[in-house]
Amino acid sequence: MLKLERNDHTLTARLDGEIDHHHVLFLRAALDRVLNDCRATALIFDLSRVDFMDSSGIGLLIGRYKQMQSRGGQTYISASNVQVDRLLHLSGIDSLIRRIDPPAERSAR
Amino acid sequence: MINRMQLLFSAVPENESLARTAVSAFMLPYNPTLEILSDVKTAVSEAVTNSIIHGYPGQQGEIRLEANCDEEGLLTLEIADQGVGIRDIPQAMEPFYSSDPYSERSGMGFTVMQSFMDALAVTSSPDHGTTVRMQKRIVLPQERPAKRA
Repeated sequence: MLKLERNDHTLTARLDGEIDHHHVLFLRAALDRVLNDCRATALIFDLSRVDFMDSSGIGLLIGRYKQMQSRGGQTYISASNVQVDRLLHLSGIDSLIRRIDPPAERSAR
Repeated sequence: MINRMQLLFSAVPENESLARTAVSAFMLPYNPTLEILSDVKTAVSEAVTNSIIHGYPGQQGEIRLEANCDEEGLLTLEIADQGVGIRDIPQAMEPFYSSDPYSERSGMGFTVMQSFMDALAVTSSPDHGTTVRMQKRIVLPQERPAKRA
């Protein structure tokens, strides 16, 4: 559901499965724990394995974006499916958080 | 024939996925496109989450989900709670409005329902609950089997 990878000052959060309000409760706690103890200046959300997301997921992304912004860091989103894309577009998050190509995984799954 | 389904479940976050899955299983025999399927699932998720968070804040309750689909492939969904209700419906439906700005809710629930479904109607009365009614054509006209003479 959540895999975190740290590489220098970049924290990559690979999410998978379904991101709804129920899952966001867990994801937010897990992400904030890590963000609070690391000094990452870049946070990448890899959404390539997310099958479903609703507006609770948008809330999660915007919340972490604000957190990164308040410490002078950057937030990026990489790869998402058509359903997730439409939601990102509808929310206007597209204009806040930059899209990048999916980062390569550092270790074999 | 009009196909119908009714589901009554506890207003707890674990059941958000139950509601989506049930509606998606109900739709499958109509062979909807993946896009239509995910639009409806997203709208259901928004309505059910609203009921859980805003309809029953810190209290227990139940949500009734009703689905029907007519011969023309028009899906009608009703998601109803008996919670606290919405005092100002137009305000609640404004994009990015959130009744609790500190909760990290995006305030996009109704916008998503409106954008992903063909029709949306919200009725609510304070202390009696909220009913969200949504419609979407899930069978495209050219895919409908021709009626026998």
